[in-house]
Amino acid sequence: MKALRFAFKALWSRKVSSLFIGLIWAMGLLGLATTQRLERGMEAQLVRTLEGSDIMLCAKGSPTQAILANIFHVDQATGNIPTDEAEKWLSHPDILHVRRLAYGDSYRGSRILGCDSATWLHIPAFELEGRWPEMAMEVVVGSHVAEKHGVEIGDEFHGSHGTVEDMGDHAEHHYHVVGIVQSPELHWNELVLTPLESVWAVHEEEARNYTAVLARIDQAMTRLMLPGQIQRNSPLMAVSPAMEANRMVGWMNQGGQVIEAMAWLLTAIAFLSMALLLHSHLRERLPEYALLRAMGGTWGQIAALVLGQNFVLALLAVSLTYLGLAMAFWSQGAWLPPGLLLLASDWWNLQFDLFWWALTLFLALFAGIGPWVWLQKIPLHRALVDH
Amino acid sequence: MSVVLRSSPLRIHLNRNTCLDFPALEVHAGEMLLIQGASGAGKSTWMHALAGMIPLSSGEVEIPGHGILRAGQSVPKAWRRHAVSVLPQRAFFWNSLSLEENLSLAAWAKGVDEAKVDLDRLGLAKQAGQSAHSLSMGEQQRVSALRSFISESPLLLADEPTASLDDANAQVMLELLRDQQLKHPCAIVLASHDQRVLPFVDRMVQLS
Repeated sequence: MKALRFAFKALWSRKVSSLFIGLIWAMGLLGLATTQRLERGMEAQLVRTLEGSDIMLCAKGSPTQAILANIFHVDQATGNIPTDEAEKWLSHPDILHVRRLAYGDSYRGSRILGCDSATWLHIPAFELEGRWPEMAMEVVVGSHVAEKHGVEIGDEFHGSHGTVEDMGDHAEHHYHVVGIVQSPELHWNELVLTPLESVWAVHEEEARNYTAVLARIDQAMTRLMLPGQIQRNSPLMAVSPAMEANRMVGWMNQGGQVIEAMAWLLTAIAFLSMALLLHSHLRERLPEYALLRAMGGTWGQIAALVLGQNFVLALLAVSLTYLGLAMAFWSQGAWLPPGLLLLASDWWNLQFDLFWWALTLFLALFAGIGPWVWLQKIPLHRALVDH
Repeated sequence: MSVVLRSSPLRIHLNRNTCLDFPALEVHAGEMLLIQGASGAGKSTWMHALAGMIPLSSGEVEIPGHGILRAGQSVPKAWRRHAVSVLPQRAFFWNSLSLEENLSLAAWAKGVDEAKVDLDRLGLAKQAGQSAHSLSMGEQQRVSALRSFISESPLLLADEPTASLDDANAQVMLELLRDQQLKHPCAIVLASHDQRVLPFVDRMVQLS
């Protein structure tokens, strides 16, 4: 402990350069730790979100857009599909647990999702205050929407057409709040849920349409064959959410690889700077180190002093990294869509950090070994006499 | 008095072209010996050789109870830690540490209890938390001497301890060394060409 105290004091005397190296190092580690967490967390999040959705029927368009709109509820839908065309395919014996969706309106920027009871009962680990809707124009509001706009059970409001407020109001149709729902899968807390009939009632001039239908497919072979069959024989688009999600993860991983490469570069710069800083410190304080040896200090003690300085730098870098990770986690709502928000249990799963803890420790020791060996080769009497 | 240092004639090669020879030497406990000689005569080299900081080309040095330093062999374990203390010509202090911490660092290197470090002895207890560089040259040299007393080694090698001091500070420094010898009967070997040390030494070796 004494060696660490002396090492800390030695670093403190050149605190600006030490802090600079610690920051660069922390930025490198933060890049590595964050991409690792995003890859792992998003995959886990995707698996959770896609649970029970082996097929999605929707209007033809971009499959990725359809997934983002109809599963994560963060993009515009590709269009609407006639209910009778969709129902024709939903009668297939291997299709189970069907969830029908119809978009249309929004309430102060939050999407109003017309859906059937199978959809809201599919919400993972929900906590419901009040009750589920029993008739058209009744809504259950996601907890974050309720909190943001001060919505309570018994309130009434009307929606705006589309997903932005300036596209016109449906002031003549009032939604009646009968419940508030909260789920650990945060994107559900951003929605307003209402029966399909509400959406159809508000848009009374239009024919009855779904925006999308999600369902589970019982047989693996059907899971493989049915989407193609629907694509060929109907105007609908049939998407396998798992396959599309894999493609999305692939894109994200490519972005992650770029960030990771930059993180490695920063780590390498920090490593070199640390070695150079230590070496210049030893050159500057050579007589003091020589005197320490002359007084009987062992090479082990000198190593503890020299490597201890890098160890303190490593502690600084790790502390700053965790500070950055905490800030990234708290602010994730600002840079991740609600459907991809990561859970604390995924973000703070520290067992995966062991790799870069070990890397940090190794780099700290490795950067110190060169200067320490150099110090051993300096003749003691010359160091004391020549300075 | 008992023998603290026994050295045969020593030969040291500083480089391929420079070779220095030193005479046999015996120093006793409680004795203060002066090695005198002009600048460049090799006084510091001899001191450093006795401290095991320069390899011997021939000869051997014995400090009874602490082993024998032989040419071609490694320095006996704990030679510099317990057998010898070095008081360098310049008081090298870590500017990142306070006075007290500098002494604590020396105690740590020597492997001794910090309680033995007593700045009160120099009247500098109030400056304990300050940087050593805030002290005068004379005070720095005295703290450096105090640092060399930490392990109470049987042999203290002082290299030009008064070289950069005025008369008053040189006097205080030499009295401090004499006091230490009264407190702990070690042998002190001074390398100096300063005539002011003469009244304090028991014996002198002239290096040509």
